[in-house]
Order: sequence, then structure tokens, then C-alpha cells
Amino acid sequence: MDIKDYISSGIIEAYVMGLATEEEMRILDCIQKNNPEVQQAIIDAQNTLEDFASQQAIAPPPNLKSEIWAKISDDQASPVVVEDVQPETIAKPLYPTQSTDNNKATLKWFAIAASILLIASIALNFYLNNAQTAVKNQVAALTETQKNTQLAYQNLKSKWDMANNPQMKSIPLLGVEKHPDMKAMVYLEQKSNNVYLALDNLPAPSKEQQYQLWAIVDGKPVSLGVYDQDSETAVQKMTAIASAQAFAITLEKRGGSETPTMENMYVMGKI
Amino acid sequence: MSTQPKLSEQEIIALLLKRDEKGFNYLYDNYAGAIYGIITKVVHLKEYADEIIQDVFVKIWKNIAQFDAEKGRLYTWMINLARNTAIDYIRSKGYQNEQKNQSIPEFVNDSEQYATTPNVDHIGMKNVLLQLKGEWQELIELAYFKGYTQQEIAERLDIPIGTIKTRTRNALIELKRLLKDYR
Repeated sequence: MDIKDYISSGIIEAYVMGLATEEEMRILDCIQKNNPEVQQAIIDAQNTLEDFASQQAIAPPPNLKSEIWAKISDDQASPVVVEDVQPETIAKPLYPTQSTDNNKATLKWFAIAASILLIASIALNFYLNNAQTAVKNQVAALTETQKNTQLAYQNLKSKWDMANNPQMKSIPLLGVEKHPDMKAMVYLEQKSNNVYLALDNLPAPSKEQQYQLWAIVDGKPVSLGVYDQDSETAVQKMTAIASAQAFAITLEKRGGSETPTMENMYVMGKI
Repeated sequence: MSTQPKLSEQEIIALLLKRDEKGFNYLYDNYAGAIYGIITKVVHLKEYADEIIQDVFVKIWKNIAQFDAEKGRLYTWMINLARNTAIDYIRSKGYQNEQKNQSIPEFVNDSEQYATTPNVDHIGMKNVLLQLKGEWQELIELAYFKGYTQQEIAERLDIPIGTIKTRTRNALIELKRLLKDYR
């Protein structure tokens, strides 16, 4: 609730007419201390009621003034003690007559109200905290999905670019007799002899193993390096080679071998 | 009112705190009419009003030290003191018992509550309250002169308390506008 809504709610008028509850009064007392708008609204309402009282004035009977002064003078003979005061009208003259409960009851209600507020505040805190965690998790999940999508897109794009580059020769490596379903692609850039490798359908190797690409040059295998399965890049650049006649992939120990382990040859393709 | 020089509220309070008769005179000369008017609006009967106004001035005199300028002005404080004293009076047992035995012509009863009290002379030209819309008159009567809480009024009129609050505000805004013409 902003301060304008608060003022237009009618609370100021209730306060000035002595109709507000004690709780409302305390809140307003607090607010008005630092809020000139509220202070002004209170002054305005007081002015109205004062003008109203002046306008409704009725002359009391003329003899009353001296009677009242006589009473007051009598009272003054006895010393004025604060305890004489009738607290219900005096201590809180602006308060409604019927809400002059004793302070203990008020304090009790305030204590209850404060406790309820505290509990509500804690509950709200928990709720907001949970909500925040949920949102954080969601954002993390979305970020992850977004990253994977981006990656998949990048990999597809690089394959697509390779396939569409007229300088690039695509050499499918197909499964050997034992592994007819397996497949990989080698892209050979003709001028530079750069070699790129993409694994299309090869089982994921264990941590201790890596696929190694070989070029067959004049009947002899030449290592073109291992394929890094931990990398997010699907199309990986291998060692460049000129005058290869064929390519093959074997599964080797991590880091690669000097010579191919022939029984672990999975795919092969001729240029 | 009077030919005395106009005193500020602080000056009046200072005089009253010094127990200076001049303070009483000034207060009475300048505010007794308004206070008597308020009391009359609550109790309607001259004999009660005469009694209550004495109480009110004695209370003001005795309790001036308790007046808190931070909570409002002296005039507002006195108005509310007078109102509360009068409302307390009509709620007291003695008054209620007396009402049961009251002969009809002297008592301005509830159904005539908006009529100008017949027993006393108004200084004001017209009862400004009568120029308000009916629902606003009723509200000010109940809240201001009968001392009902807003909750009680809401229940009595079967209207949400929020409506009572905004209606009270609108009534005062209209009252303020009407009172400008009387200045």
C-alpha cells in the first residue's frame, strides 16, 4: 500500500475523530513521524473538525463561567496530584471511549500480533527461499539444455560445412566384417591435406581406451592421432597426411599405440 | 467572541500550566461555545450539557500537563475530551436510568437526532451537518456524537468496515468544503 492509498483509506479521519483502534493509532503515530504527507492530512482533518466545532458553537449560559472558575479554585486549594487524573480520558484523549482497555491487554494483543507477524515473516522467508531455489534449479536446467542444443547445433553445422566444402573430400569409414553397423567419417581437405574425423556410430570406449585414426600410406599404417572422446567437438582435426590411400580406426590404449592392434580395427574406408 | 489579543496555543498552555486565571478566562471565552456545542450534540439536553461542560473545563485545567502537542492540537484535544466526557455521560448507568423515567417532551430522542436541539440557541448560522448527504450525516452522528466504533457502525448498518472508513473520509471532505463558506 503506498502512502496515498493509506491516506485515502480513511484511517486519518478515523484517527482524528478518535475512532481508530489502538493498533491503528500506534501504526499511524509511527508513520506520521517521518511522513509530511500524513502529517498534513492529519492537520487538514483536525482543521475540519475544529472548524466544524466552531461552526456548531452554542453559547453556554452566562452564569456557568464563574461557577466553573469557583470549582477550579476550590480544587486548587488541594494540591494537584497526577493520580487525580482520570486516565481513560486524559492519557489518550484522542482515543475512542470504548477502546480504553487497560495497557496490559493491549500489550498482550501486541505481543500476539507481533508473534503472528514474526511467524508469518519466517514462513514467507522459507517460501521465498524455496521459490528462489526452484527458480535457480530451473535456470540451471535450462542453461544446460541450451548448452547441449548449442553444441549439437555446432557439431551438425561443422559436419554440414565439411560436407558442403568443395575442397573437402568425404570418406566414409565403414564397419569391418565383425562390426558391420559401425561408421565414421573422415574429411580430407585436398589442398592442405588436413584431416578431420567424426565418429558416427562407434561404441563409447572405456576410460582407458581411445579410438586411433590411421592412414594407410603405401600399405603401411601411419598414426594420425587419437580421437578425444571427452571433447565436446564432434568433428576433430587430426594429423594432416598427404597421399593416403585409405583410413582405418582401431581401439587402442589411451594415448594411442605405435602400431595398430589389428584385431581391434572397427572401421575402414578407401579414398 | 472577545476583544482579548489572540493567543497561540502554546501561550494558552503556558498560562494554564502556570495556573493563571487569565489562561482559564481566555480558554473559556474562546472555546466554551464550541465545547458546549459539541456536548449538546451528544446529550441533547441543556441540564446535562451544563453539568458536563463544568466537568470538561475542570478536566482541561487539571490535565493540561498531560496534553501531548505531538499528537494533535490543543483545540482538537479539548474537542475530543468534551466529546468523550459527554459520551461517557450518556453511557453511564445514572443517565440511562434517568432516560427511562424522562418525560417525553423534554427529551430529544433518536428519531429526531438530526434536528437542531430545541433547548439551546445556535451561534452558527445553519446546522452544516444537515447539508450533508443522509448517509454521511448518519455516519458522523453515529461515530462522532454517539461514539460507536467503526466496527460497530459497520455491523449496525451492515456495510463493510472499509466502506465505513472511506465514507467517513468523504463525509469529512464534504464537511470541509461546506465549512469554507462559513469562514
